[in-house]
Order: sequence, then structure tokens, then C-alpha cells
Amino acid sequence: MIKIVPVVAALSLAVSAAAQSPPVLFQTPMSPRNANYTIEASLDAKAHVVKASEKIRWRNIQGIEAKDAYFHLYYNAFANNRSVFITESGGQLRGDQFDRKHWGYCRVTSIAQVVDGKPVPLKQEFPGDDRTVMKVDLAAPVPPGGEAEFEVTFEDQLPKVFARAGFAGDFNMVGQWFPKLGVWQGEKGWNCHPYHANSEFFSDFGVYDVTVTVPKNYVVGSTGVQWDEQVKGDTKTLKLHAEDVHDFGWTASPHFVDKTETYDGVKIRVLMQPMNASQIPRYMEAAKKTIELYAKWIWKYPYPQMTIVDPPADGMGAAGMEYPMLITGGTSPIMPAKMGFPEMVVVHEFGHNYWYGMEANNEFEEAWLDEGINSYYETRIMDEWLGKDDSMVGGFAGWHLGDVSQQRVSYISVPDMDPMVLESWKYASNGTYGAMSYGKSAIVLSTLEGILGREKMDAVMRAFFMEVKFTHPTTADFLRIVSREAGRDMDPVLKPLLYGTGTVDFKVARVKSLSREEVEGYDLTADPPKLAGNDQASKGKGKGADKADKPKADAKDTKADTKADTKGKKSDRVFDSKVIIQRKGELVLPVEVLVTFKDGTTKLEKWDGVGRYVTYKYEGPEVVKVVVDPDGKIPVDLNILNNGWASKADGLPARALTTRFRVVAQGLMVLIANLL
Amino acid sequence: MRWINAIKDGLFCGRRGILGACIFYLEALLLSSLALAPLASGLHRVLDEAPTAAPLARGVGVDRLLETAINQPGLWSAGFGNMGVAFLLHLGLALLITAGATGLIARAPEGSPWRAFWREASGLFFPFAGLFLMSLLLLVAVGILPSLLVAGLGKALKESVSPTAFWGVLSGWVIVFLLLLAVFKGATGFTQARRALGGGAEGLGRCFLAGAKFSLKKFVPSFGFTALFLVLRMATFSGFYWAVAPGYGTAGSAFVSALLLQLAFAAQAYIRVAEIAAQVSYLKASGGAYVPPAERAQPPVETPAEPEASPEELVTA
Repeated sequence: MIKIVPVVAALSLAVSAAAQSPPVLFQTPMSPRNANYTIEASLDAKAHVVKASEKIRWRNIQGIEAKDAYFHLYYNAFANNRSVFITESGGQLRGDQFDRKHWGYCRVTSIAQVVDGKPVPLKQEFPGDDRTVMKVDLAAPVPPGGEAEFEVTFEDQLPKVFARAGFAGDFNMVGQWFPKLGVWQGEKGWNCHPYHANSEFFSDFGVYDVTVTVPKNYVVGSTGVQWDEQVKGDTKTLKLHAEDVHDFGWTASPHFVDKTETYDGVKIRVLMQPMNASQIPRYMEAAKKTIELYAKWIWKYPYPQMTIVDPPADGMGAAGMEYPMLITGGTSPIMPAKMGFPEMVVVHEFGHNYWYGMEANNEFEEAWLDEGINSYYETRIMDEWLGKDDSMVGGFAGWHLGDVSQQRVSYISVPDMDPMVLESWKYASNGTYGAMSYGKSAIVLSTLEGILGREKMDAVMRAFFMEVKFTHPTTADFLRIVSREAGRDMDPVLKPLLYGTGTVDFKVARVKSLSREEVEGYDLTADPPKLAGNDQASKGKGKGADKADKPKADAKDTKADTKADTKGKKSDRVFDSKVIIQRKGELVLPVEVLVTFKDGTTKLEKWDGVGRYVTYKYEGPEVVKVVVDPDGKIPVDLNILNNGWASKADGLPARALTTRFRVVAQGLMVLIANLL
Repeated sequence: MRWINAIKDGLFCGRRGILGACIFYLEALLLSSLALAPLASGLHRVLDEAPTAAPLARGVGVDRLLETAINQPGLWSAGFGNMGVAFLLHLGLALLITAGATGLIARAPEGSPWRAFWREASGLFFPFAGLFLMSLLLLVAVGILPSLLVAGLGKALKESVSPTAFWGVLSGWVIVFLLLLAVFKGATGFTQARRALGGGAEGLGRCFLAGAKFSLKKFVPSFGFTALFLVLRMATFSGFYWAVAPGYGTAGSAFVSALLLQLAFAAQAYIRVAEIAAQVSYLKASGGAYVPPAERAQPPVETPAEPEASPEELVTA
């Protein structure tokens, strides 16, 4: 079915262009399609204003009648300094500063509900000073299963690019731009939060038919597919169509370098800034890799197209963002090949089309279900493609950074302030929101993979996705499905990680190897008792040591004999060893411990993590090395450096690090000397 | 040509140059090592018995490095605590060594080069410090307009999408940077060389004005010296570090990498001394050195012709 879709879509496009009707992309809808939008918009490229009208056909799929409706007007977040967004963010987001000379808004000039074929005007109400949420009382309530049609005219003033959208010079990123219905949840009412600094979005699925009119020299990229274009005078009008999506973003610029390739039936279209044109192959390869690996692990990408937009240097606030079938990247002409950031952004944003795009959880209330799961798959793809240690930085100036390491850096910086599952506006800061929703979430899922094994993890996540796609799942759904597919109750492991702020930290607390003493004193089994072992009484022999004793020669042995015997004696010497592994963190997780003995043998212990510590005892060669979690299956461990112990110190890591820093210091000193 | 000979004199500056280079190199090595000794000690204490730290040797595991900062915050603050003082000390020492190397090369004094080096260093330290500060002022005065140009280019670049604009602006920045560097390096180098050659006979202010005037008058060769030695520095460091360094994965490769990097720094020190020697040579050959008034060529003095003897004097004689 899925393989046929691109062919059907292509044929539909050809037919529809001739017949002036939108194409059919999916013969069988993938989603409930209960919020359908038909929008006609026109861009005033000089004033950066979009004037538009929309028709919304909404179906009540809950069991309770709806008497009102709530709409998102996201651009009003940038209307003034009283908005929730500006108040919470202080006009800064991800290092980008809001330009107070270019405010924005979304103004609804009229809204009506069509009742018995006639539009009945509705009164706009705004709960609170923040006008990113508009409420209307319906002229005709909508019963369960019933439908409502709205006609809305509106105008957007695009702000200077900030928080994902706006204009920068001739570049326009038009995202979250139209009055969009919230999500009707029946007894819980409408889910339609104000636009918070930390939050993203939540809406219902439907079919979008969007007509945009732009200056004729502008190149347009969008959600969906373009199926018609008409040029008239100085403008052109494009018809765009998308099915089974819950959002629609578009971009327009006269400068884009437009490059298209097809991979596995998916049309990949890259709209690049001319300055960054040399980076097109990097975006293309990243998109192809994402298509390939998501198909292998989760599900084949079902849509016919993916458009990747490269924002200009002055519009980087629009970088790294996702819309259905359209994503924005971010790079520069001098981005070194060994730094995988452009690839990471494309892989990450493309991946969102599965989680934000098809799973479509409530990003306001449970951001991790999208950002976290997506970040986990981002690390999987990047590490499989570019190498576990090199996926982000592949040996640049001698440094290496893998994606999992990068996520750990984010997590361990603020591990215990906020939980993973939390309404986005309740996080202590944007930093903890990012650390929990992205970093910790990715690391927790990597840890889950370590516990279940890669194969089982793939089966679990595939089952989760296939069951919840297009249904707005919650964390509870995730926990239920994971436990079911794993074949055991994973709540004791996952719930504390998701809902709590406790941490995981294992430590090698103590290692002691005592050389078993030779028999001294009387052997009482003999009659009469006789002195056992050496004739000489033990003189100053220690009771044992933490490390192996040097073999002590028998008084009668010659030096040569001692030497010759030493090897044999050392290998025969028996040690009583004790290894104590401590669980310093509050959370209980199963963990492996690898113990290495002097003769090269190893023993892999498995501890369920219950109890504050576990003790392992051995008889035989002395213990020379102990490593907790030797395969790195528990990356959520807060402190990996205390996971190991070795009897023999290895100064190489400290020497290598000191040399790196000394080279920098010495280099700076040479630079100063050159200038004097 | 004078500038080619000067470069040859610079690159083959003899034993005195090698002595200066050795002192330059050893000073930076010892001072950076001493300054980072607390860091080395701290890292050994934390990492030596942690087998999970092994990847750090290869530059892998930045997250584990962060762990040390989180769990041992004192390690890094103590580890780098001396760096500020070390750099200040280095500023003074490097100037002292520059004075010593310049004096040794310019005057070629007799006797033990080691003693001569320190004698020249102590004698020229304060004048060189003064000349350096005056050169900084010159750079600020000359650099105001180009700085505004660079800032303007940056703003234009941010709003542009054209690759031509990008590379054009980048090239513009590099050219402005090189020009200002040449002004600064020319001023410091030639004024210091003039002072070393002329001794203390000339006032510091006059010395600076004359030397700076020379460096601006001979801006093209001065720019050439700056560019050439900059390229040599970059090539040396790049060659050793990028092409040859085998990394730090094992004890053996770490040793080789560290050795190669030190060779690169030693080469940098020699290039510095070569630059000094080239500037001294060029200044001397181009008549830019200070000439004491007594030695300056005097205009021919018209001596009155002896009166011719009268016929009577000739008869009497």
C-alpha cells in the first residue's frame, strides 16, 4: 500500500493539474481528518503582510457536544511586550534576540459559523491580555459526530524572524500563521494553551488546501505538494495540497537555489540560500539516511515529499524547525565537513515528521514524547551513519563527539531540577526544558534500549508508533505499550525516570584482594601435632594487602630458585577478593559489572540494582580491574568516571588532556610573542 | 634585491638567531607547563585509576570531561587559576627576549652570546616596551577607519545571501587584517631594530617617528615580510599538526604527537627570530638605521684658494 502511494500521488498530481482539482495523496485516510482547512493567502512582500481567508470544516469526534471553539493566533505572541511569550522569554529564545522594531500580529477581521448555509458572525473573546488564544461561542453547538464550518478572514504582520517564523530581508518563513483550532477533548474541554516561550504546538489532523499568491520571482516551499501554478502580471498563484497533517507551513524567497532529488519514492526538495549552496549534498544525504533508517526501524515515510529550507544568516531564528513535510535546516558556507551539525539538524527535524507529525502528542504538556523520542532516533541515525564517537565532531582539532555524548552533556548539566514529564511552561528555565525534553529523554530511551536490547527496543518502539500514530498519545500510552511489548512491567524502571527527578549513579566503592596466607602454626590433625608450613614462625608477615604481595622466598631457597619459582608461585597464589558496587543514585536499575582478574579471565556479574550495594567475592587470581556497565548500556548514569577501578594507574588520559591544554596555552604565548 | 637578501639573512641568522629561538621556545614551554601543573596534578588524581576515563586520551567522551567539572569543580578553577598570572609574566618575558634577540642580531656584540643576549635584553627592555606601546597607538589611529569598514561589511554580509558577497567580504576582512597587521608589525619591528642598531643615542620619540616613517615608506616590503612570515608560521603549524600528528590514542602515538607539536613550536620560535633578523637586515641595507650626527656625511666646505704668488715674491724666492 505504502509503495503504491508515491505513484498514486504522482499520477494524481498530473491528473489534478489538468482537471483543476486537488490531487488525492492517500486513497485511504491515515488520520481522523476532523479539522480541514481551505486557505487563500496573499503575501505583500514589501510590507511582509499576509492577507488571507480560510474555511475550516471541523468534526466533533468526542462524545460531548461543543458549545464554543478556541483558536490559536500564534503571531499575537509577537504583538507587544504583554504577551505570555515575550514576558516569559524576555525577548530571547535559543540565543536569538527579538527585534523590537518589527513586531508581528495575527488579526482576525471576521469570523463566522456557517449555519444552514448562511454565515453567522461570531464574537471574538480573548481570555486575558495575551491574545494568542481566541474564544468564540458557537452560533450552533456541535453534537458528537456533528460538523461545524467556519469562515475566517485574517491578516498577519510577520515579525522579523524570531522563534521559528517571520521575515529576514526577502526571506519569509510563514509558520503557525493561520487561526488554528485547538483540540476538543470532550469532558476536558478545549485544549488550547497560550503560546508559551518553551512550548510548541498541538492540533488535529485534516486536509489542507492552500492557495498562496506571491511575487512571480519568488520561490515557494510548503507543506504538501504543489499541484497548480498560474502567473498573472507581477504575481503568481500556487495551489498546494496536503492530507493527514495537522499544520501547514510555507516559505517564500526570490533567492532560493532549488534542488530536487528522489529517493525511495520520496521527492526531496532543498531550498538553499545561494551562499550555502555548497552544503546541498549534506542536506540531501542526511534526508536520504533518515528515510532509509526510519523505514528500517519504524515505518516507511508515507508522504510523497519532504522540503528542506535553509534560512539566511539573518534569519537563523527560523532554523531547526519542523512542519509536516517541510523542515528548516541551518548551516554556513564554511561549516567543516568533520562537524556534523547540519546533518544532525536535518535528521532531527525530518524525524519530527514521525513524532510531532504523525504521533502528534500534545507538545504543550508532554514535550518529551516528541522531542525526546525524536532525539533518541536522531542519536541512533547519527551514530549508525557517522560513527558512535564521531557523529557530531569527527576528529576536529583532535576532538571527537558522538550524538549520545552530546545528549548526555545536556542532561548531566541539570539532571535533577525538573522531571521529563511536565507542562512546558512549568520548567524552571528554557535550559531545563531543553535538558529534560531532549537530552534526558534521549538518554533514558538509550538506557531502555540497553536494558531491553536493540532488537526488542526496535520492536517495542515500532509497536508503539504503529498503535498511536494519528491519535494524540500520552505518556500513559507509552508506558502501557512498552510494558506490553517488553513482556514485563517496565513501570518501576521508567516511571521514576519520567516523572521524578531522581538520578542514577553506580560506583565501584571498594575492591580488596587479600593473598591467602600460607598455613602457619601446628597441624593438629597430626599425632603428635607438628608445625605446619615453614619451620620459621611467621615473622612480620602482613595480614594481607590491598594489592598482591610480592612472593616471599622460602629461607632455604636460593635466589635463583626463588626467581625460577616466583612465576610458578605467583600463578598459584590464591587471593580472596571482594568487590563492592554501590548504588549512589536514588533510582534502581539493573546493571552489569565486569570483573577482570590478573590471569586475564573475566566475570560478568548482573545486579538488579536493589539495595544500596552488592558484594561479590572471589577466590583465585587477584582482581585487577572492575568496570560497572562495561558496554555503556546505562548512559543515564550520572557519573561514568566512578564506574571503574584499576589496580594499575594509567596516566595516559590525564597526560593527553594536559598536553591538549598546554598546546593551547603555549600557542597563545607564541602568538603574543609574535606581536611584541 | 634588498628585501630578498634581508629574507635570506633572516632565515639564515646563524648561531645568535638559534640562541634567541631556543630561549623563545623554552620560555613558552616552561611557563605553560608550570602554569598548568595544578591541572595536570588534578587530572592525574581524578583519572588515573578510572578505566572509564580511557577514551579521553583519544579526545572522545566530552561528557566525561564535563563530569569532572560537575563533580570536581575545584579541579578546573584551580587548574587554570595560574593562567592569568602566567600570561602577564609571559608578556614581560617575551618582550625581554625580543629585546635580547634583536640586540644580539643587530649589534653582534663580541664575547659570550649568552651574556650578550641578557645584556642587550636588559638594556633594551624598557625602550622596546615604549616602542611597542607607541606602535599600538599608531595601530589604533590607523585602524579606526578600516574597523568601521569591517563592521559595515559584517552588517552587509548578514543581510546578504550571495556567495560572491560572502567570499568577497571574507576576503575583505582578511586583507584589512593583513594590512593592519603589517602596519603594526612594521612599526614595532623597524622601530625596535632602529633602536637596537643605534644604541641609546637617539631619543625614543624620534626613534619611533623615524622607524615608523620608514615602515610606512617601505610599506610594500614591510607587508611582504609580514605576509611571508605569517604564511611560514601557518604552514609550519599546519604541517606538523594536521598532516603528521597521529593522535593520542596510545602512549606511543601520544608521545609522537606531543613531540611533533613541540617541533612545530620550536619552528615558530625560529621564524620569530628570522623575522627580527630580516627586519634588521632590511633596515640597515635601506638606510633606515640611525646615524649619529658626527658620522653623518658633511657637505663639502669651500676652502678659499691660496693667493697666487706675485711676480716679485717669485723673483725674491
